[in-house]
Amino acid sequence: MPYKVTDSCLKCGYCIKRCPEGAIIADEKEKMDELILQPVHIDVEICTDCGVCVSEEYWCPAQAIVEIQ
Amino acid sequence: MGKYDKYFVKYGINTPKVDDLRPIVARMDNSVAKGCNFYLVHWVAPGFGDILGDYEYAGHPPHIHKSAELLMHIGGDPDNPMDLNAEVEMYMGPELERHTFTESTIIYIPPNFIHSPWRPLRVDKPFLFIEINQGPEHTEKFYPQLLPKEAREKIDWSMWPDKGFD
Repeated sequence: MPYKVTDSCLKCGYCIKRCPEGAIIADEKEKMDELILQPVHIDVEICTDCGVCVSEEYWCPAQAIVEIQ
Repeated sequence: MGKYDKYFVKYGINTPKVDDLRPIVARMDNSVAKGCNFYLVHWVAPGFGDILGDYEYAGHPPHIHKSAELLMHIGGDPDNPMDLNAEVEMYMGPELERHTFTESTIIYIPPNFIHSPWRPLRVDKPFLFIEINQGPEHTEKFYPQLLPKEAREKIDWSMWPDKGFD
């Protein structure tokens, strides 16, 4: 079952290096006032459905990664 | 000099002091004793909240740690140990759910859980604040994007650098 990043994402970029398969991809950075944010998406071609990204309650601090039903 | 003197840790006497405004009485981590987790103990006295400011969302800004954390607020009156003699404000989660309490309280913070701002709203008598981080080093990653712009602009972000996150 593949996974996706929802609108709850805080664009912190913390997940990018934590995905063991490198399937969480950095999108173009966004500016919010004085802040630079890092949106991401999951590349379903790279994702192996290992489930690490949902294995802990707050693996994503915003709980923004969910299974695609 | 005894063989085991190193196990009697006195902050600032036989361990280094850190650059911190808080009245710290104890601090331990892996750099002080190999394998030791992070612990920090400081007093919170009347006026402590003044350095954090007095506006909505003032205080230690929203952040996470890699390891679980316990934030112990221990009242200083042994005749009434559950009375904190203070009121503390804490926000929890990315929703910034607001909590306040006036009793001796432990806040449990799971790994990577967003928490804070934290600040004492009033302190009538000093209480002890004990921070236990269940990892060998203190890590911290901030989430300024959760705060309204007006609050972000009032914070001196040089006081709050990310630590231990690439």
